[in-house]
Amino acid sequence: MPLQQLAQAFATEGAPGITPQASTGSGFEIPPLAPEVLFRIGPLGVTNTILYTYVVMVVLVFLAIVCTRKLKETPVARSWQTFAEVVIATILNVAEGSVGRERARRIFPLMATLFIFILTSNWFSLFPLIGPIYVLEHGARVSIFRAVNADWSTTLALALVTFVVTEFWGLRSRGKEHLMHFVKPIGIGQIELVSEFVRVLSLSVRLFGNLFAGEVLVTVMTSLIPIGVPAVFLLLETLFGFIQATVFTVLCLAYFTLNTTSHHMAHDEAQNPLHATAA
Amino acid sequence: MDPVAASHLAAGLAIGIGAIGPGIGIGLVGKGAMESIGRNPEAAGSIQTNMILGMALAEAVAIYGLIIAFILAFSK
Repeated sequence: MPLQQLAQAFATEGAPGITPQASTGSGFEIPPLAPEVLFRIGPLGVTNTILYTYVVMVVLVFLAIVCTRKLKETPVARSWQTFAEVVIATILNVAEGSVGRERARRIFPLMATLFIFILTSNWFSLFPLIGPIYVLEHGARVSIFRAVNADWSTTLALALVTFVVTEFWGLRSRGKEHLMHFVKPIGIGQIELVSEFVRVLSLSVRLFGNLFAGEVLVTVMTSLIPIGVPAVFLLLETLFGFIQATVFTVLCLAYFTLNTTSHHMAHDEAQNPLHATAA
Repeated sequence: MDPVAASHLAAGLAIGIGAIGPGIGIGLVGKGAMESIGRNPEAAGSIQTNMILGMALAEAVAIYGLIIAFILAFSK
């Protein structure tokens, strides 16, 4: 029964949101937990968050192309190349500060992708025009765009990718020790195993909850006081979007570090971080 | 009690009680950060970055409660 109700809450077919001002029908509806399906391609439904994800992807690809045209050894001061280098170098410094130069290169592509994608999706969710563009489906208005990470599916996908990658590196660098870690101390090993899987849940729900609650907050505040106050909350959402992108990225790095730190060398590494060999 | 009323009450309790722990936790993280900056103002930038990270992790627990509240409020 509880699982049924959970599925019901996340059901995408014909799930209207709760209207804060039901009597006036002002059109300010709290978005439902699950994104609305716009159309179907075979068995798969394309939701409005998927559509917006493609918009974000097109923008990021365009940005990547612009940043990497005519690369120079010493870039001109105000060029796109410099902007890209600043972003990449900042993330790389965070990674190297934690795991050392060699290992940082392994997790860096995932970290940078996560950060850039999540940051862009979070900030794109603040555009005011994504609400009013709608289609009519079964008589109800359905926006064709919606915040990308306000959809548990997206964040779950990101968390699963992070999980698979960190497990892969854990197995590859620690091998058998990684598996024995979950078996050896009876009781504690099993709890560690559970906590590995709970990481997926916590990563995804943290990002989803923050973004979805932000959407609801801005909607409710806008429905109460439409002038002036929403700007404050949009600013808050900007800050939170950035913080959540940072947290997701740093946690990915932390899980990678935990999975690849061999406990034999942990003591020596703790004394002298420069001894961090490529484990 | 009517099930819909019960689920709405549960939603309120979920986020209400569920925010007590994280509220205290975030306050403690902030307190630690303030004391550290007071002792060592040079490291303020580094401390601030880690403080934001610690607060975001503590807040995540409150978000779990909020998600349960949303699920309860939205289920029919």
